[in-house]
Amino acid sequence: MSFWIPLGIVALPILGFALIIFFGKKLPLKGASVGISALGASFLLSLWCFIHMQGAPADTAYNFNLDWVVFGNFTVTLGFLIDRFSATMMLTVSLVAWLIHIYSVGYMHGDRRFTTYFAYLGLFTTSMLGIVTANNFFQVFIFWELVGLSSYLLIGFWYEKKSAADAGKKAFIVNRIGDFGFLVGILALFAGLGTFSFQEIFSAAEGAVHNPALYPILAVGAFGVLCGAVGKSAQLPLHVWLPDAMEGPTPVSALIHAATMVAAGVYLVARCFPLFSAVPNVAEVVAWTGGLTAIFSATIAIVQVDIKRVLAYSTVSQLGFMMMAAGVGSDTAAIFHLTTHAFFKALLFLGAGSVIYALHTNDLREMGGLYKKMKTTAITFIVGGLALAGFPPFSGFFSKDEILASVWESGHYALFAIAAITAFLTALYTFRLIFLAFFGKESEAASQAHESPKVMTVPLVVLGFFALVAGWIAIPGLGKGFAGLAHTHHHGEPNWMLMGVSVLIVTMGIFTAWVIFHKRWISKERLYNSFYYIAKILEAKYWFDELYHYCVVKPLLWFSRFCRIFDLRVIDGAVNAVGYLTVAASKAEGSFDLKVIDGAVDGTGWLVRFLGRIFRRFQTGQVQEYIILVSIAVLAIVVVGVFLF
Amino acid sequence: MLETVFLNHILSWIVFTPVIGIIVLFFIPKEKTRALQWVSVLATFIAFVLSAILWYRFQPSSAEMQAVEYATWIPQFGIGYSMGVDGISMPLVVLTTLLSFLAAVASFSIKERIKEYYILYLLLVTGMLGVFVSLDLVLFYVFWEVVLVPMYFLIGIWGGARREYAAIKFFLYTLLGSVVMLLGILALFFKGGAETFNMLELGAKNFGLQFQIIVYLALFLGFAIKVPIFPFHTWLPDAHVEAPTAISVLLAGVLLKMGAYGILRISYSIVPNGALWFALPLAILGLINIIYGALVAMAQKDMKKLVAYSSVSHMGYVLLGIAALTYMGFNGAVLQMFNHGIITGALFLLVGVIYDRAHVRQIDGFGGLARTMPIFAGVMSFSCFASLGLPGLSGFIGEFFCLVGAFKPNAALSMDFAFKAIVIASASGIVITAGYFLWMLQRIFMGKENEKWKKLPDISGRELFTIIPLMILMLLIGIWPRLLVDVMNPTIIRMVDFVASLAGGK
Repeated sequence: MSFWIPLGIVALPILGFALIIFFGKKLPLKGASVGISALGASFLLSLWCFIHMQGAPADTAYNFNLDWVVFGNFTVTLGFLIDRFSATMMLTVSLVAWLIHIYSVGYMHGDRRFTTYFAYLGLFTTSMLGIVTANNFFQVFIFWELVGLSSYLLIGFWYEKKSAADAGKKAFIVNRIGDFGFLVGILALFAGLGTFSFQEIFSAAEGAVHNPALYPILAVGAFGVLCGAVGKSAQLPLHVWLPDAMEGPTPVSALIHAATMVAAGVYLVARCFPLFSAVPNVAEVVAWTGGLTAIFSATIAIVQVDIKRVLAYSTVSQLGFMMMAAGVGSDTAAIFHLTTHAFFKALLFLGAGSVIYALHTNDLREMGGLYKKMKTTAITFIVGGLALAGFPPFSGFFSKDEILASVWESGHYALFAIAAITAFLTALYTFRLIFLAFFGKESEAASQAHESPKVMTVPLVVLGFFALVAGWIAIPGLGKGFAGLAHTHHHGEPNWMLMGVSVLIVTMGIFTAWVIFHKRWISKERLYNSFYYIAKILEAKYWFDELYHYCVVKPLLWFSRFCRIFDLRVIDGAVNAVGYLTVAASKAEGSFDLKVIDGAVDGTGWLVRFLGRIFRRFQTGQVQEYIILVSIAVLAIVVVGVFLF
Repeated sequence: MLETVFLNHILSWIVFTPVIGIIVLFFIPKEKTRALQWVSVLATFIAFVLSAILWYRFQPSSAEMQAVEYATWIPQFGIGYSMGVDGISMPLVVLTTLLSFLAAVASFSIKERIKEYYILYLLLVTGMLGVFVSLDLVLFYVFWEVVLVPMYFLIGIWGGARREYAAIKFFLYTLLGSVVMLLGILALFFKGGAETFNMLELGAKNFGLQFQIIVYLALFLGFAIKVPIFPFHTWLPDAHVEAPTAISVLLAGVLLKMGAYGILRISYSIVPNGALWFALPLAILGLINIIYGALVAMAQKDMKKLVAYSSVSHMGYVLLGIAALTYMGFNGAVLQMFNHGIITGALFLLVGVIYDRAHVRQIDGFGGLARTMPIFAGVMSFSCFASLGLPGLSGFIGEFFCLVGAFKPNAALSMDFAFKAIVIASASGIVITAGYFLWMLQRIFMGKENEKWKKLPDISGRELFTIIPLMILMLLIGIWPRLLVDVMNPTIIRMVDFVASLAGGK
């Protein structure tokens, strides 16, 4: 493979970005054509890569390095690592991004900043492809931050709305908190091992069994990676930005906040599998972070009334699932689920976008009976829903089953219980959404609705196809098995019993949703009232936003204001005080000078004049007086002389 | 002919071209505004072109002083007219000429007493350039003080409402520092034995530790006020707020670098043991600058003050990188100096753009400007992201490698743990920095369009002309840092090795 192929894959979208920014308005389709063709080319190259890697031996890895800059005697290199893992990621990212580019032509039609939108999409895609192809931590960090930038720009795309501007800012800052940890991790790894390279760090990690001194370095490094992943993949406790990110245009939510960017954290943890294997304690933290996030956000998803927020919490929950898999040591299952999730969650978001486009509302309570009005959207949405719920033979079933199996087999039974409950909740909230939006009584808004244009429905159908079949590579005998997606360490036979349990759980979840939200045999209101406090907690999203607002944001702002006043009053006050004291001292000296020193000078003069005035009296100019005075003087001298001698 | 008159004295030509400009200005009547402006722009442009020639002829593989000039000046006291550039001063010379040229164009918005303004302006440029090329302590000191006087008048006459307060504060504060610095310089002269003020000769001397520490501290006060290092920084926000735009650009872009450059060039080269002794305090001061500066910046209501405090924060990385005494740290520090110059220069130009239109700088007074002034919004966001350390733009490289370099300090310092703690604490600054820049951007550009500012025209061609070169540099260095690092690296290797070799005989 040539160096130019990964370079082309990564660089094409950003070339599109540059073209669109400078010449966008003059290009066909106001610049969208450039974005779509750049992404199309990138996708074809990725496809070629993927096929090539599937044909090559499983552990083939192409490492391309470029000397970037030399500090002292250390050369910082940039480069690409192309193996099955990154080939899968490149294919997923470029395919989903391409479809979403096309869909956006319809969805963003008529927007004032249509051209800018496509430029930002290109910037994002390059950053995301940069993460999945990097062969070292430094480069990952670069693109990691760029992904954050494009996410910021796209969440806040409708910046005139305060909530959108706030959400963009929040996303960037919360991500930077995670990145702070990530940065420290990278620093520790570099200080300890003297390299940023994946290959060298992982081989050191694999050799750490013989070198326990490396343990603390690897632990800090792994924990740093986890911090970064927690921020980017919206895991507890940094999940708060993702639901707010739904302020962005819906295709953006589909691409960035469902299919790709948020998966970057999971990707990185899975990529660092050897690192986490060397420090099992940290891996345990990863697994529990994922498990808790999964169940935590699944519970919130049940009570949300905004169609996009349901999907957002569902994304957080599914990412938790992947994280859990990566934590228990099944990076392959994590990546498998990442891939299938990318398809079906992008599909669900785009479906939701199609609904929003038709109804001009996000509110589930204003929907209902849409099935008859928007058949393509509804059917593809149900396909996505079944995949998300994990119903066979849809893709989600296979990947979720892999995760459940790997958690079970690793002996984490408590986590398995959490995962099973989450699976039930997932089926429940997914079908709650489907029944509320597409079935039941036709709402007022729904009666006016029309199916969206072809440019939007065709991507839905394509994604629907992948949401159905993407999991089938896991069926023994079909293809190489999903191990072909990533690494080779795949456990053996399918666990039929687990599969049965998983199908049962999902069916129960769907059935419950059907009973409550479709047939309404159990009244929603009664349920709500009997679980009033729980429902309130869930609606308040466990008060995380409030907690952060009052315990982090407010105190920080308060402290920053304190620093400003401190700077003004104390530090600068001291400077001004010195100045003031100097002036005061010089004034005091001035008056001392005037009164005492100069006073002495003046005083001398005054004295002379005073004496002068006295002696002037004697200078009368009359000789008789002078003779009398002289005679008195002579007499006085004689008298004094007689007395003394 | 060309060789002897021109190339052999290229540094003198660079430094004194602005003075030639001043002489020409004397002969132009003060009503001829255009002529005054163009002569000044031309003078700075020629200096810039000359520095580009210097850069082109510079041998990046060598760590030696290049383009050296020497003439006896006051031989009785060992004072010589000695100049040269190495890998540390070379980028700063180019930074100075570039910013001087752009700020001269930006100075077209000055409307009163133009002749006096440009005469002082060009004198300032000569002073700044002289500081970066002097190899003689007295020459260095002379240029250092030459900077002070025009700056005083430029702030005091063409400044804002509280200009006199700010100008006097700046002048006295800096003067205090430089007088103490002069004591340090004199001490070196008398103790030097050879009775010379030549930096290179003094660098070869081996002074006693006690003496080095005292001299270091004396020099440090002068440099610390200039950088500025906490707690000597409060003149900076006042000076920036009152100074006209172009002067703010030079103040932040070049003057602050003089302090850090002095630490590298004089403290580390002549009293290295003093510098080693002070490494940990310097790193701690760096940490304070980073975090404290960022926190104070976040609470500012005036855009210019916000950018001024962000400078305090960013210069902290320079200190941290220097203190660690590693190749990466030093490289990161000099990179950060250069990058801070172009980024903060651009930010001050941009604040000037908005101030010229709205005549206010209160962050809260705006809102929705992205719709009114889309190009301005794009350019400003670009520069803010460069400043908050977005990878791909230059600000990131300096910051990142200052942190990497300081995380594992030179073994000669044997302060591994302390530096690790300091770096981790400093790294948290990336969150606060993102916070205040994004918050500012949001308050200025986002939200509903403010009726009051609906008529503001977007950024003009002349204004763009001053900013685009800086943006190109931000991008170029961000992607291809070798542009600078290749020039700096050999000098830095030699310097780090020299200082480290003195620590504990290693």
